[in-house]
Amino acid sequence: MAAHCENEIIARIKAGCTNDFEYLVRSYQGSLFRIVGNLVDSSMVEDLVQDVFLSTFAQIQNFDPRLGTFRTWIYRIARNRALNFRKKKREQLMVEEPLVVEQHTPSHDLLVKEAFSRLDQALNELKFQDRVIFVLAELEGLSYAEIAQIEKLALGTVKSKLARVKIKLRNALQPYVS
Amino acid sequence: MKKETFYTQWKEHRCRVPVPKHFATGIMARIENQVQKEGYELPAGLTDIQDRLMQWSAAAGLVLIGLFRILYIAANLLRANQLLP
Repeated sequence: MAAHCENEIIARIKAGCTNDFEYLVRSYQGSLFRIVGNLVDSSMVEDLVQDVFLSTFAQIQNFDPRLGTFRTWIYRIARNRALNFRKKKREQLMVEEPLVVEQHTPSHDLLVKEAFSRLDQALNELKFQDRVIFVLAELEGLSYAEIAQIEKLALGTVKSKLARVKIKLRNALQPYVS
Repeated sequence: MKKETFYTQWKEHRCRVPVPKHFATGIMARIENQVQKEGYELPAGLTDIQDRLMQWSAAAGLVLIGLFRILYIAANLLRANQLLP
């Protein structure tokens, strides 16, 4: 959705057209499920994403398009919710339990499964901020500038952190590469 | 298999987080409920006035009790003076 269209919709919601919020829900539900689903335990993802949308609606009067895009604003809310949840529950980072839909094909042999499981483990071992940076950059395709805005970091820091995370993850694959 | 292929396939695998059916509808129903509830609640200004009225009436009551007590004591003193020879 183009930013100006989005801002028009937000202006209408602020004016009282609450039904227009559904456009935002439908536009962002997929990416929020991916982001939150890769940051917390799978059983809580739906509740947390729901919570993100409800608090976005409650705080929408505070959104100022001059300070940033709606996308970075809502992603920051999601990131904060995921972090609070993890602090509260003191949960261990995601276990090997898959939060994604498994699609077994003949190519998914034992070796691939093991490699994926090793990568999942390496992802779980990352610090929360590194994990957020990885998810936003590698799974959501956000720019460094957007990630810097969400994480409130310098652009250079985001670049170097992401580079380190990628090296860590690729190193985890070392035993599985022929 | 190459490292890069593993890595790319794994990222695709992690992107497959399904959105439950009717998720958006559920959210909108909750928001509608919330909006309706807020509509029936007293506005913040009115609840403030109610609180202040309660405080003022309590203060006025205490002042009245105090005055009554002072008058009672004063009246007793006057009566006692009259009884003295």
